[in-house]
Amino acid sequence: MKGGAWFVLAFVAVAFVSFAVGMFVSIPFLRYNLVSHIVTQIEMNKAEMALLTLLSLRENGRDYAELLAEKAMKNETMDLDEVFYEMGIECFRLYVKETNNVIDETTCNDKEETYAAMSTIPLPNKKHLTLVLEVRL
Amino acid sequence: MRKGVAPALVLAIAAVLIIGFEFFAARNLMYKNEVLKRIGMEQEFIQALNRIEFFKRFLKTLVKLSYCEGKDLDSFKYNLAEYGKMYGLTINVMSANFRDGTIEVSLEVVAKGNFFTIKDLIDQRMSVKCD
Repeated sequence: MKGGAWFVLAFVAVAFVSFAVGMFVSIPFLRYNLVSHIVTQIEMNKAEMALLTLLSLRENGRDYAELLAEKAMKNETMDLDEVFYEMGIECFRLYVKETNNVIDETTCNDKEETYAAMSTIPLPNKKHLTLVLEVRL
Repeated sequence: MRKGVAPALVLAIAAVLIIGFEFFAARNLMYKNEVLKRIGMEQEFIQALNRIEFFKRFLKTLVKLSYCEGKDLDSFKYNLAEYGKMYGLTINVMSANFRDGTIEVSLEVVAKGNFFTIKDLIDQRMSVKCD
């Protein structure tokens, strides 16, 4: 082969090997970057679903949304262990952001990541409180 | 080994690594942007739905608070729209009837995002007793 042909062949070989190296090396990095992000979003959505489920429950003809709003306004606590246990959540912390009043909590010993969901509790004169549910799923 | 082969090999390996890194960076950026965009769209959609659902959970309280503040249609519409803003929603009162301590309302709830606009129609009939 002449010099020109060798040069073209070498160039194509280098480009091909570079392409292969770049593509394969990037897979674990992509997994690391994206999977953790996706998992976080999924877990946050689960936390929101848990809060929505909690607010949808009824007890003695009263909505939990109303009950929790009342408890939040009066800085009172409420036993929710069983409710969350039935939902499959063992560790949680339900509190009011503005007053830091903890309505109920069950702490876990391990240090796994917790995810939070928030909802607005309306008050008279267009004021509001924020109900925060932190769960370890 | 022939003279000049070793430097040529070193150069070739360096070229492979450098160009390979470019492919690596390009692929990372391309896929990452695409996936994050799709997740973002999905998240926005779920968040919009959730905002409406949270609003619905407190609807009775919201209707009561909105009505009891002024006890007329105009203040009811204004108050409910203001409460809707707390949830990131636009509330249009389609119709509202107040009679004998009972309220009947039809609402159009709009959750607007960058990719989606979700509309929900809600009818609520409830008795109201202002404190």
